[in-house]
Amino acid sequence: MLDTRPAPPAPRGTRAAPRPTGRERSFSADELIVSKTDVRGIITYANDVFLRVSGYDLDEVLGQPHNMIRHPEMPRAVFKLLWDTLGAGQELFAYINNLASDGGHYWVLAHVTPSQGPDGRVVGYHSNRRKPSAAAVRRVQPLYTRLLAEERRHPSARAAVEASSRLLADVLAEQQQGYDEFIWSIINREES
Amino acid sequence: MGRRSVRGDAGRHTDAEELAVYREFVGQLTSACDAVSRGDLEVRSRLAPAAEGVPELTALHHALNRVLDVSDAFVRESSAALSSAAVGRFHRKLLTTELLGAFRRSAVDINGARRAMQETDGRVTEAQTSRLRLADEFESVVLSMSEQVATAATELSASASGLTAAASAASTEVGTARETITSLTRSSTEIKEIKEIIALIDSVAAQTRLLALNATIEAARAGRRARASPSSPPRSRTWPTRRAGRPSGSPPRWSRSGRRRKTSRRS
Repeated sequence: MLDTRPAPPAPRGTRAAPRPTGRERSFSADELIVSKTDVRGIITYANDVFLRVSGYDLDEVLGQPHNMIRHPEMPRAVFKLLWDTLGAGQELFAYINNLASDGGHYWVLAHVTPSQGPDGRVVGYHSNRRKPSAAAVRRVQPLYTRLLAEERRHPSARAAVEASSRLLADVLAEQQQGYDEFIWSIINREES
Repeated sequence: MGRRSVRGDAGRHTDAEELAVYREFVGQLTSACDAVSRGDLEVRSRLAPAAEGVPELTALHHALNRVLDVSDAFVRESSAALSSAAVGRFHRKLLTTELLGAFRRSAVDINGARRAMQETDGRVTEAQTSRLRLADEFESVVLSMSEQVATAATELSASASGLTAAASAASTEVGTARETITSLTRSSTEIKEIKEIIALIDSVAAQTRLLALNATIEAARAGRRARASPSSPPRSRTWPTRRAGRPSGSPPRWSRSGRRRKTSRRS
């Protein structure tokens, strides 16, 4: 039995970060990609769909930070929002482009939630990902492109994420909605 | 039993070694199921390296973890969908994309309940808006009425002042009236006496007329007797009296005058 709550085992070795190839990988609409991390974001569990789509063996992902599958074209502001939301004990839905071990990518509609122990304390985080509709991905891509362009204007990662987070807040304010309303407006329109 | 491969071409294990691999796998699977039955959805089956070459164990490992993954996801998301609906975030529905069978049916039911909550919330909101509108109208009416009441109160105050003056005047008039009544009451006694006097005078007048008539008759008789026989004495007569209807308060005067008349007549 794998207990996902205690500290993960030491990593058995890591690959060099793959270079994006632009080739898209996919999975079935009735499949769930599932992974769990501890409170530091270290992977403690990955299901078979995760391993198959990402192209990694279980040994390669257990104990690794979850951002090992982060695609370089994903804006950092989205992940800052993710961690801020989880830190507040809330769930978050987000369209995320992941990087597979071979440089391919796969878009997911991720649902991320805190995991609580018997005493109610947060013991880690859980993410399940669905196959998103192509229309939904097309709707978020322009926003992500803007955020990414903003981040690339700044030399440091810290300044970049602060700037793109401000831009995200401004864009949502212009639309007079919060992120939650924004993402659900896309989900409810584009997902079956 | 003979020897068989459990890790492909990597090596061969005895039946005892294979049995140990199975037992270890069954043990960890049993532990995982026990934890899940207690509501701990964080646990998952873990495939030991020795079991990775056994296709049946690997299949069972993934099958159990899929059960746990979909159960875990369903519990998290259904809970979140209803919690969101409970605080009015009705846009957060339960996604059914990857759910099959009973999970999908339950998700559809939950979304139906969520929509019902949304409709109820809409009706409640509408009712609340209606109540607020009614409250506004009521407030407006109350304010208008208050102004009218204030105006009426002012007028009533003025009327009350007038009434006070009128009451004061009335009180004076009542005093005057009371005095008048007292005076009238006093006068009625005098009127009564006047009436008695008038009645007495009337009675006296009537009797005087009778006396005059009698005197005339007696004079005529005396004349006739004188002409016939001057020596005959005059006949004694009883004077008529009128006592009926005589005022009770006047007998002394009447008796006195009656006696005076008798006396004077005899003398």
